[in-house]
Amino acid sequence: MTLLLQLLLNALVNASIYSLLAVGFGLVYRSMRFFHIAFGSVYIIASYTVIAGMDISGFPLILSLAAGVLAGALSGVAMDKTVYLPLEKTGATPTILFIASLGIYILIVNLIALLFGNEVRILSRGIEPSLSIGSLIITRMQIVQFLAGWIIIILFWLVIRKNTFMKGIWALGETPTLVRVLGLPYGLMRTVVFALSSAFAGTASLLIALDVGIDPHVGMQALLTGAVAVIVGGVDVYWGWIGGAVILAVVQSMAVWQFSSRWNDLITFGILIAVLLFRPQGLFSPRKRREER
Amino acid sequence: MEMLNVTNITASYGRKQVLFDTSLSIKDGERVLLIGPNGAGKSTLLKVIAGLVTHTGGNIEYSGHDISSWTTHRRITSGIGYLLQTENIVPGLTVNENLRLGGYSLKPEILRTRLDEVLEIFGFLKEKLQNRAGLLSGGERQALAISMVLMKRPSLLLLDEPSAGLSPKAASDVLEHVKIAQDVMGIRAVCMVEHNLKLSLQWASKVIVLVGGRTVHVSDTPEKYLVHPQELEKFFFGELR
Repeated sequence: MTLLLQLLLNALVNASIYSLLAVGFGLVYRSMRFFHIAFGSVYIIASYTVIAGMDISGFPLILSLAAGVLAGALSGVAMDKTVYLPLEKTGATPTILFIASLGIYILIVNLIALLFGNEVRILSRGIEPSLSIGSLIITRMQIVQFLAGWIIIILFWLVIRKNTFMKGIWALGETPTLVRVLGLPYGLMRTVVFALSSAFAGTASLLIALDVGIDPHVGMQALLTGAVAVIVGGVDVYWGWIGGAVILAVVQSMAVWQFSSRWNDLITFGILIAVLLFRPQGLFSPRKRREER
Repeated sequence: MEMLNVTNITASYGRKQVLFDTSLSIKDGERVLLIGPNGAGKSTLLKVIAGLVTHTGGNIEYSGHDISSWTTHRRITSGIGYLLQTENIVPGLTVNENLRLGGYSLKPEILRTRLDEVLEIFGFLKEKLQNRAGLLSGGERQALAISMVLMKRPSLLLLDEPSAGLSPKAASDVLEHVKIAQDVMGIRAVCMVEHNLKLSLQWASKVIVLVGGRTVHVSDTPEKYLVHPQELEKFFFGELR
C-alpha cells in the first residue's frame, strides 16, 4: 500500500511536468494545426543553454535558468519565422510542415550532441534533501517541480480564460481566415504561440534537468509525452490536455507498480491508440455537431 | 462621392486566372449587389478587396487611398468589414466571446457600446450570449457572423453570400437586418455577393453582373429586374432563381 501511495505521489509530480509539456505542445498543435516535432529540440535547447552558461561563464544558476527559458522561447519563434512561416506563405500543407519540423529536430539534436557530447549532463550537484510525509518520501526537487508546474498551469488558465487575444489564438485553429478578417494581429499571435509553447517546453526541460539531468536525445520523449497527453485528453479543451497528462502519469506509475518502467512506452501508446479508436475527439472533448466539424 | 474604386483587377489561383481586368466602383450610401454564375469570380473579387487574395494587376482605391499593397489587417482596421461565406464564427467559443473577438482592439467603453448596438439589431442573440456558438441555428450563426463584423462599425461592408444555406424566412431576416444595421450603425456602403436574386434585388440600389471574371453589366435600377428577370438571364442564362 505504501508503495502504491508513493507511486501516486510520484505520478502527481510527473503530471505537473507532463502538463507543462502538454500545454506547450497543445498551443501550437491547437492553433497552427500541425505536428511541431521541433518542440522536442526546443526542450533540449533550454537546458543546454543553462549548461553552456554554467560551463562558459559560471553564471549563477537562477540567471542561467531564466536565460534557458528565454533561449527556448526565442528558438521556437525563430523556427516559425525562418521555416514554418515562409513555408506556409508558399502554401505548404501540414505534412510538409511536419517534415520540415522533423528536419529542424534532427539538425538541432545532432548539433547539440556535437557540441556537448552524448552523455547525460546534470545541472545540480550533490544529493537532494528529502522530506518524509508518514511513510512517503518526496525530494526537495520534486516539491519544486510539483509547485512550479501546477502554479504555472493554473496561472496560465486564469490568463487565457478571459483574455480576448488568447481567445483569438484559440480561434486560429478553427477559423484562421476569420481571425485575419476580424482584424486581429495574426503575425503577433503566431509569435506569441511559439514563444509561449517554447517557454513551457523550456520550463519542463529545466525542471527535469535539475532533477535527473539531460542528454541531447530526450527531446523526442518529451515531445511524445506532450503530444499523447493532448490527443488523449482532447485537442480542443485546455483542461483536457491537463487531464491527459494526469492520466498518462498515473497509468505509467501503475505500470511501474504492476510490471516495470520498461513497459511505459507500450502503455502510453496503447492508451493513445485506444483513444484514437474509440474516442477520437479525446476523453474530455465534447462531441461536436456535424456542422461544427 | 466614390468610396471604393477597383480598376482593371486581374487575379489568379495558381495558373488559373479568375479575374480579367475587372472593375467596380461603390459610392457612399450604395447597396451594391454582385451577381453572376458560379465561378464568375464574385467571391474572389471580394477577397481581393479585403486583401485575402493577392491581385496580379490593377489597383484598389478606398476613401482616396491606394490600398493595393495594404495587408488585410490594415484594410480591416481602416474600415472595411468582410463577412466570410463559410467558417465565419468560432464554434468553440461562446456568442459573447465571438462578439468580443469581433471588437478586438476597441477600447472597453466603446466595446460595451458597440455590443449594445449590435445586440439591439440582432436582439435574439441577447439570450444566447453564454451559449457555445457552434450550437446556434443556421440563421443565428449568420446573424452572429454579421454582428462580429459590425463590432468594428465598418464604413464599407463586404458580404459574401450571407443567406447561403438558410431557409427563405431566415434569409429574408438576415437581409432585413443588414439593411437596419446600415441605417442604425451608419455604414456608408455595402457590397454583397448573393445568389438569392428575388430577395437581394429588393435590397440593392445597384447591381453588377460578373461573368467569367469580367464585369459585363452595371445597373442603378435593380428593381426593374424583379419585373423583367429575363433581362438578367441573358447575362448568365440558367443561373437565375
